[in-house]
Amino acid sequence: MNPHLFLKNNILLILVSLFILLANSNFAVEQKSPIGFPTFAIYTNKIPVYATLSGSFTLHPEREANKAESYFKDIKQSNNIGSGTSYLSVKFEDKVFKFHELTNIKSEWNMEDSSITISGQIPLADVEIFMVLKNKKSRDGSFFVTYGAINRTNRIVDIGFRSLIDVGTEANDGIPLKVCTDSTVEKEIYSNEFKFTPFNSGYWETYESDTDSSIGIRNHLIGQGNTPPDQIAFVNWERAFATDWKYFTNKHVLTSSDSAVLLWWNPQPVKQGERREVSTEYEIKRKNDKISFDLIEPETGSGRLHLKATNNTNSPKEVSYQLDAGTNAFLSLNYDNPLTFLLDKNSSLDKIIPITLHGKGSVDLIVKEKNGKLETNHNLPVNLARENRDQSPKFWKSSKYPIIYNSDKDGLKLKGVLRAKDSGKKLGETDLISVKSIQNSFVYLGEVDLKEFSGEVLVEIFKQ
Amino acid sequence: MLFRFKKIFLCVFFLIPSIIFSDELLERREAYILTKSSWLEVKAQEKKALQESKKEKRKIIKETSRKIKSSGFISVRHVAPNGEIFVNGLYNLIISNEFKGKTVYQIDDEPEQILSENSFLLREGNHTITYKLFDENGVLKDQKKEKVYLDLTAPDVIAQLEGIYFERNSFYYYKPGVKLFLQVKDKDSGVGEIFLSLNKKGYLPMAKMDKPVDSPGPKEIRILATDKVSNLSQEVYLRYTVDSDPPSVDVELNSIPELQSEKGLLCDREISIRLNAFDLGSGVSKIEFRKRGQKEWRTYRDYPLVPRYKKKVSLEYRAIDNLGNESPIKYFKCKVKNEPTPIPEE
Repeated sequence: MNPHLFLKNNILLILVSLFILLANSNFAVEQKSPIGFPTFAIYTNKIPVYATLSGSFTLHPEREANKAESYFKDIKQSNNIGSGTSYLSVKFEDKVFKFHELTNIKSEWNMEDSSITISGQIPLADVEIFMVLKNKKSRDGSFFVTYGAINRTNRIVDIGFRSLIDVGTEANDGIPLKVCTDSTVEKEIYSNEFKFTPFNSGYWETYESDTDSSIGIRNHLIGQGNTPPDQIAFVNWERAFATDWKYFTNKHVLTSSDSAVLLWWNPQPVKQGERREVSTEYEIKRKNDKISFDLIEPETGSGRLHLKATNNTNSPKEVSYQLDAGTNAFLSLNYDNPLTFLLDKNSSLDKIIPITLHGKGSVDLIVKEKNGKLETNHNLPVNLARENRDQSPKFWKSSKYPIIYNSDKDGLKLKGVLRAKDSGKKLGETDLISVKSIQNSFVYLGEVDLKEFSGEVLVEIFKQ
Repeated sequence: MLFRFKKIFLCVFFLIPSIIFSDELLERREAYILTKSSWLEVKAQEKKALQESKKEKRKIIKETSRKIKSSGFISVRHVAPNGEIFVNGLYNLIISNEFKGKTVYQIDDEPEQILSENSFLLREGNHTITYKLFDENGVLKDQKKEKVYLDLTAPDVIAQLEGIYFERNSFYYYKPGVKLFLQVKDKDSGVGEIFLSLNKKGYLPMAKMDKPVDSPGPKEIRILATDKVSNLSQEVYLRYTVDSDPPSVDVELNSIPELQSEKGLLCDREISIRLNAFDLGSGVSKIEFRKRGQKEWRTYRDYPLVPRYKKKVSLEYRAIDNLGNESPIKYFKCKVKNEPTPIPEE
C-alpha cells in the first residue's frame, strides 16, 4: 500500500471522526472548578452541565451565546470546605454524610453514553454511593441526575438522599420559583419558603415574567425515568446550607435574597448486594407561547401537554381545554376533561399536564381551547410506537387508578392486579373490559380503588 | 415410605390443577401512585415542627430575658484560655476564697482589711489579691495570692444596615435584601453573647434568630451584648421599613366616559387625563406613560394629558417609587366622540 495514501486516508478518517464528534451535540470536556476540584462537563446542545468531584453539579447556560441567565450554582466566593453551595447528603442508617465526606471519591466519564459518574464510599461500610449526570439525547437541553447506592455489606441497610440545589442568576442569588397546581386559585409563584410533594406539583421551575428575556430551568419530579421525591422544599439557601438532612420550612422566611431547593428521597432498606437508585430530570425551559405536546415515551404514550394562555383584560376570564384523541386513540389524564381554569385579570396560565395517549403509530391529540369567547382547535400530531400493550399511567394522583391494556383481540377475559412494589402485597384487582376499538386493537380498562395508598406499585395484567 | 408418597401425591394433586387453571401473566410494569395522604403527612410534620419550634423559642426568650436581667447583678469570674482571670464589679472576694476562719485580704499595696460581705474590687484593671488565714490565737496559718482583672467596661455594639435605601421624613426605607452588619467589640474579657430583638418580640441569642431582617414591612431591631463577665452593653436599636410594594396608579378623567357594550368606553372630545399615584412606603418617584405599542416611556409632569384630534385614546401608564418598585403596567383606552359634547342650556 502506498504509505502516502495510508497517511492521507488516516488523516481523512481523523477529520471525519472529529467532524462526527463536533456534529454530535452531546460531548464532554474537563475543566477546573474555582476551588480546585476537577470539574467535568457534558454538553446538552450548547449548554454545559458540570459535575465536580465534590458531588455537586452546575449548569451555566449564560456562558453560551444564548445569554440565558439562570443556572444552578455550586461555587460561592466563600471559605467553606469546598462542598460547593449545592451538595448531596446521604443518609446511611442513623448517620448523614455529605458527598465530599465520602472516601475513595473518583470519577468516570463515558463519552459514548454522554454521562459522568462521580462515586465514593461510605466511611467504614462497604456501601458505594454514586451520582450520575446523563444527557437525554432524544430531548435537547435535558439531563438526568441519578443518585444511587450499592450495598456490598452483609446486612440490610437504610439509605436515603437529600439534594440541595442552589438556584440563582448571575445578577441575583434569589429568584422566584414556581410550582404547578391543579387550579389557578392556589399560589404558584414563591419568594418565601414552601414545602410540597409531587402530589401538589409534578415539577418546579424558575419563574421568569413574560417580558424577561432569560431562560429558566425546570425540574420534573414525575414522568418517564423519574423517581418522585418524598418531599421538595423552596428554601433560603443560608438556612438550608447549615443543615444536612432535616429541614422545616418557615413561610415567613424569604428566599428572594438567596434561593435554593431541597429534594428528599427518604431512607429505604437496601438488601445485601442490591442497589437503590433515584433519578430526577432537569431541563432548560424554552419560551413556549403556544399549546404543545411533548411525547416522552412513544412505547407507552406518556407525555406532557403544555398549556399557555393570557388574560389581558381587567376582569377574570375562564379558559377551558377539551382534550380528544380522536377515533384512533384513547387518552387518560388525571384531570377532569375539559380542563377549566379561571384566570385573574391581567394574568397568564402556564401549565404542564401529564397525559397518556393509548394507541399505535400516528395519532392526533385535539385540544379545543375556549378562551373567553374565542374558540380555537389545536391539532397536535403524535407518533406513538407500533407495539404497545400495557398503557396504565405511570403516575397517578388519586385513589382510583386506571389499569389499561391494549390487545389485538376482542372478547378477552382480562384481570388487572395492583401490588405494593416493596412488600408485594395485593392492593386490589379488577376485571378489564374492552371499552374502545382503535386501529384493529382493543383498549381494555378497569379501575382499582387504592384508598389512601401512596407509593410505588406493580401493575400486572392476567389473561383468565 | 407410604407417608412420603402420600405427601408427594397431595402436592402433585394440588399443583397440576393450579398450573392448568392459573391466570397467564401478560404484562407487569411499575407505576407511582401519589395520593393526598403523602402530602397530608408532610403537612402534619411541618405543623408539628412549627409548634415545637415556637414552644422552644418561647423557652429561649424567657431564658434570655432572665439572663439579660441578671447581668450586672451577680458576681462573675471568668478564666480565659490563657489562664487570665477576669471578674466583674460584683465579684465578691468572700465567695472566691475557700479559707474558713478569720481571713485578712490585701488588694495590691492597699492596707490589709478583714474579709467581709462588703469586700469588693473598685478600680478597673489588674489587681493582686492576697488572702491570709489566721487561727484563733492570731497565728498565720495559710496564705495565697490571686491575680485578677476587674472588667467594668461593657462591649461596644455598632450596628449598620447595608442596602439600597431612601430617606423620607426621617424614616428609612430599604429594598428587600438589606443586610444587617453587626460589630461587637470588647477589649478586656472579650465578647460573651449577642442578643437581638425583632419587632419587640423579645430578645433571642443571635444564633437563634430565624426571622429575616429584610422581609417587607416595618422593622425595629434592638441589639444587646454582654462580655464574658456579664457586663451588659448599651441597647442599640435600628428602625426602618423594607419596602417592596409598588405604588398604586390610576387615571383621573375630567368627565365620565360612556360605557357602550360593543365599543367599550366612549370619551368626550374635550377629555383630559390626569395620572395619580400613591405610595405608602418610600413615596412616588415618577409616573410614566406611553401610547400603547410605543417602546419609550415618557415621564408624567403633573399636567393633564389632552389628546387632540384623535379618534381614540390608548394609553399605558405605570408608577415607580423611590426605591425603584414598579407598579404593573395599566392600560386605558377609549374611543373619542366625533362631535363635541353639547353644553347644556341653563
